Amino acid sequence: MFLNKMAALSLMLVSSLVFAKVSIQDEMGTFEIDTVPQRIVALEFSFVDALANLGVSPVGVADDGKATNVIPQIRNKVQPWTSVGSRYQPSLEAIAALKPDLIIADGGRSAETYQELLKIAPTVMLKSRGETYEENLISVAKIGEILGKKELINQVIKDHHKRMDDFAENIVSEQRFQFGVTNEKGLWIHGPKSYAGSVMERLGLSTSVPDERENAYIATTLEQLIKANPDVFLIGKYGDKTIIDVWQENPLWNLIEAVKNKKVTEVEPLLWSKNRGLIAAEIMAKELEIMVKQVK
Amino acid sequence: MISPPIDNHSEQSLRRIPVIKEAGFSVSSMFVPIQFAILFAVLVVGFLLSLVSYSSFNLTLNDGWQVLLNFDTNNINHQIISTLRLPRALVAMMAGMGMALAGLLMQGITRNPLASPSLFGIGYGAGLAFTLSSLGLLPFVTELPIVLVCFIGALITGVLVFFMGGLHLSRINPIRVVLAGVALNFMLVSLVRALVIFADNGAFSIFYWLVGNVSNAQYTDVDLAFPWLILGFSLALFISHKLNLLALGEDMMQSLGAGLTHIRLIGGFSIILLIATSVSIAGPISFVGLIVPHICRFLIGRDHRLLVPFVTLAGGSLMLFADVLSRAIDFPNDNPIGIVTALIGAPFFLYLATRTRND
Repeated sequence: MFLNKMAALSLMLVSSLVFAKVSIQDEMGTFEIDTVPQRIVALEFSFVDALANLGVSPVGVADDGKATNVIPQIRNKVQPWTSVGSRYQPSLEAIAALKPDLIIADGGRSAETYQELLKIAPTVMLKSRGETYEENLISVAKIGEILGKKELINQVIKDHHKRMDDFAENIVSEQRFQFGVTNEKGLWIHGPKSYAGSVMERLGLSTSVPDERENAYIATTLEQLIKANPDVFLIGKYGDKTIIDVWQENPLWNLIEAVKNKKVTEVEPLLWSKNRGLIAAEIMAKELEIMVKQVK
Repeated sequence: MISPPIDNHSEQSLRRIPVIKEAGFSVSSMFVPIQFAILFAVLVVGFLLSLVSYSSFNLTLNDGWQVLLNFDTNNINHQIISTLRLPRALVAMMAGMGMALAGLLMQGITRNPLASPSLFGIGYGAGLAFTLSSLGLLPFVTELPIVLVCFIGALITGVLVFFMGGLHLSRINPIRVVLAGVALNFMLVSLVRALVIFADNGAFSIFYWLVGNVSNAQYTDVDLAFPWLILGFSLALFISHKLNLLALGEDMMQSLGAGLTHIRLIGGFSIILLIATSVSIAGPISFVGLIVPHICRFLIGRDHRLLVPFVTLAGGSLMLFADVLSRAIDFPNDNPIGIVTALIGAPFFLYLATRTRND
């Protein structure tokens, strides 16, 4: 009996040495896992970016039904995955069918389905939608830790910072940059609390609404856009017809500095708004570097 | 004889018959012009406030006058008022007028105090059509003018409520009408949500629009809505006398020789026209169609010949003040106007529910 107990205890000791138990703080409290997950389902694009940096391919992604929603620079670094539906409402059945041993879910969007996800596999809830650049880095580090690649991820982040610092050195401008997404019904500018806005701040640029620290995405009328008055305006268009087409007919449109200076640029909304992460941030930095050169 | 359902008018009706025969609902007619004058003044004040208040550009009333008298194309304040604020105020006002008047007609025709565009699903019927069109799921729908699309959506819902609610029968069961309306409304709300989930790109902005929003209103919206609003108003005025007869009960109305089918068809057409127009320019704004007719009946009485213009003015005024509030609550951020109407409307609705019991 005693020997049995000793054997069990020593087995536990040995196993804990082999599979070090990982414990991190997630949006729900403490997340613990004692095996290295192999089959991972990611319920936001930003998690795919993090996995790609670790050389890990997710088996399933909530990609809104189309793999091309993830930018090619991220997609090419991982193996093809199975779609598990939309990010708003991923299919629990599709997730379960993949027999995952880890689900990485958005702490905001997936909060309601947390209990259901837990029944399928260990689920870690991290920030994604509405996260800033810094918050994303924290999530990336946590994903590395969960996958037992703490050292690798620290190195990846260190290398990333080095490249971002290099970009920042080239990106020196007093001009106020502003990114926004638009469709037929309106314009939403992304303030300093948004991912695009905080990447700009990381690179030393300021946005046209530096004091808006509460909301990441700000519904903006033409009147408010004229007040914000960006020097460089980056527009991500959803759809062929947008409200910008209507505003361009208005004489007030020409009062915006970016319009006067011909610095209104169309950018890819998938990159600038949806695919948050290290890879996306560096591509954004590269695009900004080119724009800054032109502004000078 | 079975007395008509939810009829707390039945006692009053008996008292009012002679009044109708002589001079209509001539109660308190002395004050009517004054009440109209006051309401009109409220509308004008609301309109001016909507034009100049809560702007990052310190717009003044004087700017407003100058736009009329001495418009300077190089003046940024003048441009903002004339190209952004004016269409916005007009759209808010027109949408409020349409929704309020539609609510009055619905309450008059169904003789149900709860009838309103949002509770009966007709607003969302137009909203579903709008969502289908703006997501581009049915290509041929996207080609059609938006008012027509909303009209078709409202029409289909209206016809469904009409038959499911038993409005084709000579005597209306008010519970059946409400059940049909509420059930349809829920079905439409879930259909719209389902569509929005399928199309993630447009989702955020469609949710934004579904609350009711006039922030980005344009003159094209004004031009689009104006003729239909006039037509809807004229039809409402045309049947207003018959609505007074209907208020006495379907049986009484028929015994006075007026046709039920006639008023339901014209009224129904007008309701659908008004809702479709309002929704296509401002989204399915809630509560205006429900509360405004009640406030107006409290103020001016139950004569629909007066109520039709009075409710129109009041609906416009309410939306103008709601527009001002939508900018005031979180200045300099601009919130959807529908949030304000819901914030005002929901408590009023509860008040109404408790008050009705005491009547």
